[in-house]
Amino acid sequence: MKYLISLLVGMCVGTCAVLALLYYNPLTSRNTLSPLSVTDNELISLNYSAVARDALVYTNDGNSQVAPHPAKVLQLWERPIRHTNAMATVLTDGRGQIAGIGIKFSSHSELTNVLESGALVNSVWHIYLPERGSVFVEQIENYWGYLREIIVPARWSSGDNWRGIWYGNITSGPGALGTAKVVGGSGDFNGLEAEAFESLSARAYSVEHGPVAMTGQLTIELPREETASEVE
Amino acid sequence: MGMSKMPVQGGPGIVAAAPRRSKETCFSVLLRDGDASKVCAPSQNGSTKYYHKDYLTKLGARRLAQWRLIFGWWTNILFKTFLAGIFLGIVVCTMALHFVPVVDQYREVSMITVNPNGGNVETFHINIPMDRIMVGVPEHGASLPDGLEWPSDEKLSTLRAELFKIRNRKNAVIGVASRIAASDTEAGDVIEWVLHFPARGSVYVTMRPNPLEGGYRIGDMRRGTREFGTLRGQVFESWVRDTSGSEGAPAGRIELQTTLIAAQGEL
Repeated sequence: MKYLISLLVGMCVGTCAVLALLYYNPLTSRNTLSPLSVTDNELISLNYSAVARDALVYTNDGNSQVAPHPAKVLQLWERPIRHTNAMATVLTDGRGQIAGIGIKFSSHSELTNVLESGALVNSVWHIYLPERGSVFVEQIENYWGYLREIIVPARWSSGDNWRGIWYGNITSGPGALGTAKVVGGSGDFNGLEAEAFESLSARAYSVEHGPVAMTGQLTIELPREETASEVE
Repeated sequence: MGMSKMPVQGGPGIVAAAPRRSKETCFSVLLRDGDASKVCAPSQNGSTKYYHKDYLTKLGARRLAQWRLIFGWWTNILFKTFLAGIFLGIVVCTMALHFVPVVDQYREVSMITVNPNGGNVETFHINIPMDRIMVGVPEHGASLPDGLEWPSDEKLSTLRAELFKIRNRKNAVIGVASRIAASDTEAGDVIEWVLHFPARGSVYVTMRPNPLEGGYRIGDMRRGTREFGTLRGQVFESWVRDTSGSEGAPAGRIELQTTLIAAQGEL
């Protein structure tokens, strides 16, 4: 019996060691810099509030930590869409002026792999910017840093919340450099093929309500048009 | 006692020592706190390790206990079992994290038909009003759901944004969709769809604004993700009014038919 107990205690210690190694792994620190940060091309920055109650509409399965908004919105409780969130929000430019409307669908990715520090989400943005056109953004997001540095500390906190300053680039693909893919649909963006990345800036998080003070930023790189003079 | 003083190599707390006997290497030690004590160490001249009980002082007993504590465990079966448990725990935890899926998106069977020369055809529909998640329009009070405060900005005056649940031919919900309709001087008339199927991928479609005869619109698939990533094709949008008259029936449904074919690759 004592050998069995010793074995089980050993297994618990081994499991804890693996989980501790994954959690404290210094090689998986959050990504704060995107390759697009050093580009020479024009960038469009679209800001939004990542707090559900600030969105026009936010919905999920209704049993998640973040409550749907408004309260009477249809919930995504059906089995094939249970792990999906839908959000419609106002996008603002760098001066805080309304730039357009963005709709974001996010679904937990089956490629999520804790061993590789990947808490992955497949998401798409459907964006319309008045007088400019529409774009579609496809991305794989990795929330590992967000999970490790905000959600877990908030749960460990005696006050069930987290406060601080956190900034992270959550886009991790599908582009080769860990960027999102952008396709233009109409207007100025018609025919556009570009890259983008999305970042989050968090200041407060509550275990009960989810993000309390958090903003998101979607940055789209506009490739420079190759003029005849440049070709020469 | 006939001891000759000699310097001591190491040993915490020991500052000086001298041999007591020739066969057993015993030392009279002077501790750092000024106290004198005696301790015996293993014999230097043979493989047998023994201790002289007369000289086994408190310090010596403590040292022996420490020795057993540190090195005796390696030969203890219980400790070996514990070590095996740690190794097993690491292996099992790693295997579980690798092979057990953290996320398993439920997938309804895809109901695809194949056209003789026209690619794969799949039909989806949206029951109106049951599947309407959001309608965002500038007209006051016309937006859904209750409580939605649609921005009254002049820029968005021609925009109509909608969110839906989307169903397959068996009437099972399999995804969500967004539809944006707008009109402005730069972009012209815009009607677009994004269909998002969590287990499969997403489809981005731009529709031609003018409806064709028969009341349907045709559009082009501009981009697909994951399962739809290598596909290209067309999408037909039509409004089908419900004529059943049955109680609880929807007012009608938006039908979307995708005709997709694998994009031609370069040889």
